[in-house]
Amino acid sequence: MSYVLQQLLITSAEKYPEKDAVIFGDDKITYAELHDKTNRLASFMTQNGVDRGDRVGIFLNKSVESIICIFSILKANAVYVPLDPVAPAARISYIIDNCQIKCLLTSSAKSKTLPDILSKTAVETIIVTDNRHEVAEGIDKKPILWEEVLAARYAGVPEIRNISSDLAYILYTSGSTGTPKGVMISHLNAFTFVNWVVDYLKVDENDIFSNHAPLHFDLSILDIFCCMKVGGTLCPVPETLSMFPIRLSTWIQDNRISVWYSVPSILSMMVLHGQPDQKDFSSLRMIIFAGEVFPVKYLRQLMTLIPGKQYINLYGPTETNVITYYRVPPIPPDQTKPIPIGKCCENMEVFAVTKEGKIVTEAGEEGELLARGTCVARGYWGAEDRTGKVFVPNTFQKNFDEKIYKTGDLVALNEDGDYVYIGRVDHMIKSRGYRIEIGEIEAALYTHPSVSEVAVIAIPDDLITNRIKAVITLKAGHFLEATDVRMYCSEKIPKYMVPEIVEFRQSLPKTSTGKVDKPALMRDSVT
Amino acid sequence: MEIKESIRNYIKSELVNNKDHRELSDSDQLIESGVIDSLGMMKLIGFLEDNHSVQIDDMELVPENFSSIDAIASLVEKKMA
Repeated sequence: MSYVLQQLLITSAEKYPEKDAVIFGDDKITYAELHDKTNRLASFMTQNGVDRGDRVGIFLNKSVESIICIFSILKANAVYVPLDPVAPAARISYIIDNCQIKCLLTSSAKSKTLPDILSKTAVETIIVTDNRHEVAEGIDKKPILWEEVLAARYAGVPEIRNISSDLAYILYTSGSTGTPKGVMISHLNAFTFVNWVVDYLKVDENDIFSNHAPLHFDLSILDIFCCMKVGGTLCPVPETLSMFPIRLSTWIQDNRISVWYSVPSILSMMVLHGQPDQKDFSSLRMIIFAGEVFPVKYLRQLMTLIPGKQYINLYGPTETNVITYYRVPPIPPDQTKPIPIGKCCENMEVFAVTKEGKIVTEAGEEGELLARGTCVARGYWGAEDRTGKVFVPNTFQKNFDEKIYKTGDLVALNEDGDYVYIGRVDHMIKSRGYRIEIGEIEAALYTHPSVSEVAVIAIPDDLITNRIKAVITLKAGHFLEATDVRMYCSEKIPKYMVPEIVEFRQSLPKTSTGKVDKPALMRDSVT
Repeated sequence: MEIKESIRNYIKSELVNNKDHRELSDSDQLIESGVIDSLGMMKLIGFLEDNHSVQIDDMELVPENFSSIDAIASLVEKKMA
């Protein structure tokens, strides 16, 4: 069997042609239909210049079409690049330029949110997943309509020409120097994780998978590809549903979800406002979470409100997908310490290295977590220097001549041999599961002509891990309000990175070496 | 201050991040347009509970009650009555 992701759909379409592959509200598609439509779109793209290894962007909201697009791009032997459908145009433009997206799959409505960047970037082909002709004003490139694509002739399943070490997708994450970085994931990288999930969690064709995470967030990999591998049914969660916990818990019940996977903050909201104990969750088998630390008090409540389910904590940065797991046992009422991130998944190895360069072996010792194996990504697109800093030669173990990944996460071993997350070695933070580089927010703020000095700090929060606060000094004679700052930021960086709290000061506190004294700002903010 | 005005001021000063939404009207869509996201919803509920002394029940936390400034104001007025 080919170790390429499109093979998963091809195999399941042969085994379960009549089964529903994707259900989104009233919209659904069987495996046979998904196979057929992806063959058409893939063939169309190939005939229109999309070559092996080319990057193809997906700029769409959750929909059946977005899943069609993923598998079509893979069947065209190309690389899919999911673009955050609510990211500011400047960021989309950066990503399109950065990895040279020539073909963009979008909808006519979404294309209108990209004023003139489609004209200025290298995008040559725009395919819209509907039949409306109108796109953003000023675009001279005529979009190709869905009906045209689906009417395209094709001769059988597009030939598999990619191999397992080729890239399957690129996911852009926050970068500390002010621009996002594209994590390059190969088919084999993804397969290593997908195969482990299917074996270890024993998911099968009877499972109904939620897809809560957006496509540009790596949690979506489990949902989409594990589902396709086993021939299950995928149910993308409408984006706005997360705001309404009672509706979300009803949605899980009504869609008979059996495998739920999301960031913990969504589940905490469900505990607080979703009344999950009032729902019929008899179909639900497992609740998987990743992306941030799950506050123990909410996790314990969740396990009480929805008893008898498997609770699994997964851990791993985008650069490795998932590398450790922890099956959560009943949590004692007096436990306050967070649950571990656990032990390493199969076919990979993790180890922690102390500041002195020694591998952690004793309980209680701390170190930075490193990962090796086929889970480790190929690096960052077009950024050798950035790649070289964290994808490093394995100088810690003898006999292994390879690149390993430094996660930047500080961990400790506990008595059970599980790793426990402690914090970061750098300035990256998490908020609602999103990775955020403080430096990227500060870089965005420094481009404002009125801003003199900036310090961004993360204020710990029970529900969403961190709230972002910006403390700003203005140039003499300049005046800004918090709203102006937020509006400016939201043109540069994604909404989840925009500072929620903005404070103006005459000056920023400094340490004796002249650096901004962030601990002092933290003390002022937390008390 | 009138309830609707206070809600409008809060949304405009705290939640609006996009200059396209600067001239928000009371009937404009807040959820589909992305003015309110999940974090914004938490902040808004905190604001309503602290400043208008209403307790938003779980069952009231539904799109119909938060779709526009008009809808939020009518929810708060109903609860205060």
